[in-house]
Amino acid sequence: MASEKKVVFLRSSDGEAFEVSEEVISAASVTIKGMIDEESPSRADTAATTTLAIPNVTAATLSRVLHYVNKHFDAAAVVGRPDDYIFCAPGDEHPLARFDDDFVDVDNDTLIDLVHAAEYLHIKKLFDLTCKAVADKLKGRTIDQIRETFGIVNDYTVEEEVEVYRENSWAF
Amino acid sequence: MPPPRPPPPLVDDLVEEVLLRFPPKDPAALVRAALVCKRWRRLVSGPGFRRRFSEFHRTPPMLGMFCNGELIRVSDFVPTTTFRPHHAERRHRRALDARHGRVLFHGEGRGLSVWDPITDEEWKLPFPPEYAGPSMSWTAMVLCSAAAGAGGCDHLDCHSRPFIVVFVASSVSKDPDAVVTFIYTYSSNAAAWSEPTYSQQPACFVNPWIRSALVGNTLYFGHMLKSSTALKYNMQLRQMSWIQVPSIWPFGRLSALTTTEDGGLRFAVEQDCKLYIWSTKDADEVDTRWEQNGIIELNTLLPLDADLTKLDTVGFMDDLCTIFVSVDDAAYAIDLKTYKAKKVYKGAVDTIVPYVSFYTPALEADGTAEGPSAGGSSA
Repeated sequence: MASEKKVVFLRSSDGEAFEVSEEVISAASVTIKGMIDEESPSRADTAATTTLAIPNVTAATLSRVLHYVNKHFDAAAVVGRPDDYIFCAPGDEHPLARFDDDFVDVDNDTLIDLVHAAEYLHIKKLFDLTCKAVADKLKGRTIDQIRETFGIVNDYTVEEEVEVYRENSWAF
Repeated sequence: MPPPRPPPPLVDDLVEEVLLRFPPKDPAALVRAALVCKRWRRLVSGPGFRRRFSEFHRTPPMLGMFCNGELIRVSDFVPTTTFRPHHAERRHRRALDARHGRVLFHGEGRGLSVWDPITDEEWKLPFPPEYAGPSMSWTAMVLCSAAAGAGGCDHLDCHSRPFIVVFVASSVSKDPDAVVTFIYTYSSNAAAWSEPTYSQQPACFVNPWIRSALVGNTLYFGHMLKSSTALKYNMQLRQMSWIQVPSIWPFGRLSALTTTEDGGLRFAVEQDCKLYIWSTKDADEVDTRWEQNGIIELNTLLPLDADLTKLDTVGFMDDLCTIFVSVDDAAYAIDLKTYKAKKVYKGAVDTIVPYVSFYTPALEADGTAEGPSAGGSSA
């Protein structure tokens, strides 16, 4: 653990600022690490804390993302691998796997916001986790339900639709 | 708090990321996704998606098995996922091999055929010139053309590319010194058989019941009588030789010949209900070191009432993660990692050829974006 903990503030698209350890967020987010590295020369000689604007992520989503990031970083530290940011695969026995399951057990819009945030912030494992969660939701739904979930307009004609059904009747 | 806003639409890149995470063992889910809208259909039908899907999941699932009947010439497709091919039941044919998305059949007296169960494309091949019917012991395998080349193939998207069929036969002669083994290679590109390669080795006959192994660009075929001898064929150099492999039961029944996870060669011999497994990291070395990987007592894994005097090994998965055995009128898949047996077929079966492949929909991609899906001409 670093003796002196540096922190950064992240400002969401709707103007809320969140404090997070620089070490934690740098390990998790490639995007923010890049922003911090760019800022570093100017920060070296000032004591001022850095505030980074995260224009693509709302406060609600950002707070969830930080919850995820902190939780995973703490778990890594517990097992003595603070440098090795721990992640789990679904179905793992690890307590974090349960945390992950609960983390993505949210409504669609929240989940999609998390996918976008993970992509923008470049947090690979969160991106994997959330995309997988969307996939899990989709595969159990009917075609109509999927369209409804994403507001997708059906652009198949009835004839075209029948043709695909006919050729792939095994899949329905 | 900010006012509620409409749900953010998933941009194409993210739709793809989500669909990539669909389980390979549920092909039907991808077909249903293709029917959501034409944009999604183009996405999942394109060669780019097929490649990325394979890359993402790495290990292709077994979509089903071709079970060759013992008495009647029929090869049943027994599904192990949601995937169901068109025209699955292949009457008067027998599945010889399946690899890289295609299946090779022997159509009784009518030559060979290669079928892609996903696109339903089929190619008919004549027998090679020297084929002489029952007076030869022969086998054949199908693989993607690139596998034979110097660079090999990553097999992520070779489904839609040209294939080759390697045909191996030994003449069955009363004079053991006169046995000649030859290999012909058919290329789908040329739609013709190559010139043959010959080898004359006394009393060496290729095993017609065991699928061959592909290690790098070298093929290994079993010996019909001796499990301690195998035929090695380097496709690039077009050289063949008979090699010795260790076996405590040189005349035991060769049950499997396959690659290992780390690119080596593995084989299994069955004797008295026990499966003896050996492997080597580098079968090309002159002083190859073989390692015994274990002895598996098949009888302890099968149902108590199974008549073990009728036990027969009838097929295997590459890497030897699963072996198929038949007992009485049923076939079982035995998982060699968990040691669990599962009944997979009811009826007399003499060989089982697993169909292991990723499935991505072979629908016409609607003529835009990525163009027509390669291999999707199922019309």
